[in-house]
Amino acid sequence: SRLPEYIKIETEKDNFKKVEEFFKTNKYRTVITQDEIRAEKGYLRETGNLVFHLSLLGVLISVGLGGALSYSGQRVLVEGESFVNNEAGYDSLSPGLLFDTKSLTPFSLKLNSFITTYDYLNPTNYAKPIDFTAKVTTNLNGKKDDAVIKVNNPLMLPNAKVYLTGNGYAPDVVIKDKDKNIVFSGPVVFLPQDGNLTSLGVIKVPDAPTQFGIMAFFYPTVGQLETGALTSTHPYPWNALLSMNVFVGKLGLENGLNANVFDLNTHAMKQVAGGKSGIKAIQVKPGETVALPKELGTLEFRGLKRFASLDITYNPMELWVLVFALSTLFSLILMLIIPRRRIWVKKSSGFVEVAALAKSRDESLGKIVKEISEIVKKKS
Amino acid sequence: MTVTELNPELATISRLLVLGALTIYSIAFIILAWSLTKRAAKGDKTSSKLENIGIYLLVAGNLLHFVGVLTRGIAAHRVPWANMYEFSITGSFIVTFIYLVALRFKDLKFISTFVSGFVVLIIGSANTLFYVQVDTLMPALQDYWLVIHVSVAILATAFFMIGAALAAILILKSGKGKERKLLKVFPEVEKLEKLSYQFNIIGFILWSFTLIAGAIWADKAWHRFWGWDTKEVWTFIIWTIYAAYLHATTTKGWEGKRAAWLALIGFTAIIFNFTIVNLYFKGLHVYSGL
Ligand code: HEM
Repeated sequence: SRLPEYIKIETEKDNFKKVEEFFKTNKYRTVITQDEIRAEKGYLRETGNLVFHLSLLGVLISVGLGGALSYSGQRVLVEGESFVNNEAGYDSLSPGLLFDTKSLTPFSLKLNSFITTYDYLNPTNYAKPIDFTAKVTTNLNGKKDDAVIKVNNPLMLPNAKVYLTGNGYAPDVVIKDKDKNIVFSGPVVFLPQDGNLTSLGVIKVPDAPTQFGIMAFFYPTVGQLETGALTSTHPYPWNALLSMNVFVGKLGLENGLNANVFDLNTHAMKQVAGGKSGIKAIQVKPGETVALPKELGTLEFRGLKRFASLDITYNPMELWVLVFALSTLFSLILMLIIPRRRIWVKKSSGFVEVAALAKSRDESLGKIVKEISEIVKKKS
Repeated sequence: MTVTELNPELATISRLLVLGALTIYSIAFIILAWSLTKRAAKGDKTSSKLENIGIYLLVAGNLLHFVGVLTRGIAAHRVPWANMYEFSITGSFIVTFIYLVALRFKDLKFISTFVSGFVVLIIGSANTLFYVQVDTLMPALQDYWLVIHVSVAILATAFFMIGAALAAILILKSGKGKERKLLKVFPEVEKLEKLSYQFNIIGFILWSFTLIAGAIWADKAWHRFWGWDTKEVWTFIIWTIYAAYLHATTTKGWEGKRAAWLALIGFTAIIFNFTIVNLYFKGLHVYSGL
């Protein structure tokens, strides 16, 4: 897109000195010969153009390389549990193509406690969570440090950023068979289903004399819907209840069946409590012990713990992406706002010609050519 | 973490103040529209007394609007732009404010009907569709990037809005029926082009910073700086549309009407991004508060 401007002036004078001055004060680059001045302006536009394309390439390369050199993994930690930063420590880990999982920084991290703050002050906002804080202790090469992780405050460790991505309850249960042998013990992570933390969890008991599984709802503060169904009315455990459906039969853990800890495949199982089994779902409150049907034994709801879901990621190219993104932007603006123009002033016998060319639309080009022709004409 | 006490009474007062501003803006809109049609009937280019009254009413409305926005912030103990209602009332305040400031430097009275009409529309829908009680910030929003990211988004939207009004007039003016009397009251196409460009390029720079600030915040709050979330996708699409617009304005054959269409499409996409994407699309960026 070239928009030429041209004026021919019949004159014997040329005022080249004045024209030169004009170019100089307006910061043009000039080439001056016997009967011609060539002036150019707007190199920054070309520079902008070059930098823009290089930066764009930079963004692409750093995003691509970042993807290959980075990793990201998840781990759910119950209060009191520790995480060790190696491949086995993750619930799931997705390393980039070029990331060697052996190069994970060897640190460990213990979740000491998980604290939630709810708003009880403002009626309009009642019981909304306003803070989640994971208190942790890290151990890096034997050096122990206390730290907190919050939603907008990831923990920065060498080559690892630890983010808090979720939380919920982990009821701590002990199951004994009818001979009072412990067949299951420990906190079970329950996944929240709604804002009041109605949660769903699965307990698998492969070590019992007859294998069985439990699919349970946990209500921190139990209430009833109009339909009679249970629900949680508050996220804080003021009136906690665990309501269990029990299934008897082969779990098939050894065949990889039921490998997902949050899911119970009841295909080959028979329901013995809850649903259409004829026996009501078994309900238990913290501190209580209940008998399980079909002489499966007893279940003690020993206590309640919190869990935190953590994301551990690292991308060494992150800063470069930002740097290149910013320079893409700046150079694009340079490219768009700086006009690039060339002007010629040429004298022949009897007349002087002023011509100009712009690389893009240049509103003031005509005005400038006029201005220069005035200078040429001026009687000094 | 201590819980801050909200002030719902003050929030109610804030709402009434904003509604007061809405009333004044509506009267201003009617007066400005009336003066525009009157001038159009005469083919008159100079501004009338009636128009000046309209502008003064906009100033008065804007003052009240400011107090309304301020009290909302005081009632909530934070910046008044953490949900769609607050974004709308603060955004419409900023649009009007920028417009009134720009009036001191440029002759922009001819879009007063558009600006006031749009502001009435925004506050009206904010009050009826987006209204929410003052609330404490959810953990994801408790960060200083809330101040930066959203305020820049508001400014960008405000500049784009004025740029779009100018582009719309440009399209009308360079279309068929150029000779219609109504169109005579508007400045020449070249002037409209230039004004529209000036607002849109400032909008573009601010939009770019909204996007980059969003990405920096996303790295903190969502544990990655970019993930093609619906809001991210649409914000990027809008960025591309405006980049194309700016490119078009310097490309022969694309300047003028065609470029103006791009600016208008860009602004439509912004409205889409703010309303439809916020309310009906699933994603991480769900801060409507509704
Ligand atoms: C790359 C990431 C991001 C992009 C591209 C982005 C884009 C935008 C845009 C265009 C707006 C203007 C109004 C709208 O369309 O809704 C906006 C508003 C807002 N953003 Fe973001 N944003 C990003 C990340 C974030 C993050 C991480 C947070 C908070 C954790 C956040 C919080 C908000 C809030 C509270 C508003 C105002 C209310 C609203 O409009 O929904 N944004 N953002």
